[in-house]
Amino acid sequence: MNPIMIIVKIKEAGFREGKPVISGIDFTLAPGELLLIVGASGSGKTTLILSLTGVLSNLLNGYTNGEIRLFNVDPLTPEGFSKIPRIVGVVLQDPDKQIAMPTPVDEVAFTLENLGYSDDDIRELTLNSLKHLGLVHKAYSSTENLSGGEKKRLCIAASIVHTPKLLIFDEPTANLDPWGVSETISYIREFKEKGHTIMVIEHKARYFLDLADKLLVIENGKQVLFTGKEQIRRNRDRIVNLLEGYGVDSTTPKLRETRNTGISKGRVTVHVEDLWFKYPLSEEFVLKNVNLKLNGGEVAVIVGPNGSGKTTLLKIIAGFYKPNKGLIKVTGTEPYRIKGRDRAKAVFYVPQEPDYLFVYDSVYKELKASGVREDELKSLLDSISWLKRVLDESPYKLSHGQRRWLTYTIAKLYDPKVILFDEPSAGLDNKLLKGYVEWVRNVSKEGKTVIIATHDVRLVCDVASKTFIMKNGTIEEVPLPKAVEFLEEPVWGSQHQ
Amino acid sequence: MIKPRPSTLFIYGLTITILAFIARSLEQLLVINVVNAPLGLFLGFKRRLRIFIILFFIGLIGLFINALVFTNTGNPVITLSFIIIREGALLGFAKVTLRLLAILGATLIFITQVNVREFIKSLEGELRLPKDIAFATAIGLRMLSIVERDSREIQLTRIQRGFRKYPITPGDIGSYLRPLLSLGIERATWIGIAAELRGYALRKPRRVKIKLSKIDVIVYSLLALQILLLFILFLP
Repeated sequence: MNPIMIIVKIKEAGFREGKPVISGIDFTLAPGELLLIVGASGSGKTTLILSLTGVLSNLLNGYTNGEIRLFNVDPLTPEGFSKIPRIVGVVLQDPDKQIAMPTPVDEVAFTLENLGYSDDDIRELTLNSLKHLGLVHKAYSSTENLSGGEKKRLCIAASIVHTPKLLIFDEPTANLDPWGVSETISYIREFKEKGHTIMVIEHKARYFLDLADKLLVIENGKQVLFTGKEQIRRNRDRIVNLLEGYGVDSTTPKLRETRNTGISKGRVTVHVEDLWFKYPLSEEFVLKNVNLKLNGGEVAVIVGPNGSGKTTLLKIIAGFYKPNKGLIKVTGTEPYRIKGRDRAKAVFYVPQEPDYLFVYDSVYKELKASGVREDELKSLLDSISWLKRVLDESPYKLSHGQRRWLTYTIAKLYDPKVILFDEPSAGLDNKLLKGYVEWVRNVSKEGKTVIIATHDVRLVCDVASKTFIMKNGTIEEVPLPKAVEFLEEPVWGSQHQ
Repeated sequence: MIKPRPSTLFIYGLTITILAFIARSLEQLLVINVVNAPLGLFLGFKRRLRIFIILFFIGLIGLFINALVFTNTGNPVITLSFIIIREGALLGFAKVTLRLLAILGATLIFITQVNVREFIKSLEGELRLPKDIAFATAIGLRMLSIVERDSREIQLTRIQRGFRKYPITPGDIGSYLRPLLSLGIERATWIGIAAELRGYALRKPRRVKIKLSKIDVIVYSLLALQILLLFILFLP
């Protein structure tokens, strides 16, 4: 039996003494094991990574009370913390918040330079690592031009190039298309087979349940379950139900018989015909012969790989760009011709990054900017209790989930006929997602058209009344099961091979 | 393409910035703008750093109002209804504009030509600067392209909410910069954490001997020429 090489006994940890974010975390891990750490958004998963790598207490002026040993190194002491980079490789959730260098080769070499490798070793290991992760042909490209999946692979390459004993992945499938998810799962499987000890922090547990040797569930910062592979195998259904109860995505999505959306109100709200578009200075068309017709009350979900043109199509419907060729009408008018606030009354685009939408320094001002009457605002605040409590706060001080909700609320207050969402469920756990699904159903019942660009199969199953697949700038309407298969097949098909 | 060493470009940019503050007359300021302003603006436009150029020109509105309030002296030059614009205001405005334009130009030349990792190595190894300064400066440069991307997205969402695409008033500027700063601070914090987890604290500068290439010599010669002209113009 393998000796225990990772011991974590955290009594309390947080950013300010006396205000713990996580507490009562207690687990051990043997070399070569994969630990899956799951929990809803805001349950303290990322804080756990910061705590057990020593970042919280050594860099962020936070504190960790308890005992941690990672391969006999205590990361809570300054001496131990200085050894962590050699034994631990951490892949953070958002590549844009990890990549520090302009090209993949620089990014990977940066790790080795820091760790004092010779120039020859740096050259060899960097290229080998990029080759292994399928990035060698982009070694000298700008990191800005990499796709989401490529950026994630680059982060993995830069974190494992020095072959650390312990690999930690924070939400490794976040914001990835199904092919990116499949690649990431394959790499993690490969690292496990090579004997690396691995921790995967996810709220989409279904991707990693089969790989996990141990499972740790956190709720509200507290450990509520720690169990082994045998238990997971024997009590799978019970554990899956338990995880669903904690807001963790752990079951295969099912098509709902009655989605209660897509009650067409008859009027055509979005009409796109033979639309072609390319960005200025670009030779290639991003959108080619796109056709789309939607009525009031319909919910269209567009799925497709990263870079297939989903976001560009939404931005054209929003009137941000004028197409090169073809027809586009939103509520009977070309959206790029609508000026000022009238555009928000016709069509409203909610970006993937909530912060892009905010213009004021308080939630109240953000809500009032739509021109909503005071009595309407009051009734809205009565229905969303937390919003009332944060009215004077800056939008940037809200949690990620709250910020997302604020963008939905702002969109609704403008009372547009068409609402466009770009990856609205990114980072939302099941509980928050259910709230969003309800929200979409309600606005659909009001007769608004909703268009959602997403990789999230949960949205296809729960809200779509029409589904479209986008590939290489072209769009095709498909039956719901086909859209689900399109998203699920790349992930599960490749895993079963 | 052969590029000058990052240390050469850093010294060039820093010296031009100092010269911009030393220069007093319009002629002197024009001298340091002849090369730096057009080349910097050209490279900035080409490398998608337009937002910084646009913000610079928007900032000129504030500069002009400032000149009108504090240095509106001398003979009247333009009369617009009740506003009389005098020589002092125009001269003050022109000087500050040229000063900032020279700095912007040199900065854009610098940031469009350096590779962040080479820059860190160069500052540490050649100029012997502390690694924290080198890393912070380099990450700042890396963030510029991300800020440019963010600003494009912010412009789009501003339009749909009925706000000006480009900020003009102080209120506009505040609402424009707030999301940029919020995102920038969050990213910088996480990039810092990620770098520490990849052994940044263990990093030891590798001292290297400076070997100048032809292009470095050309850059230094250009710099020397500008310094020389500037001091000739000082002479009575």
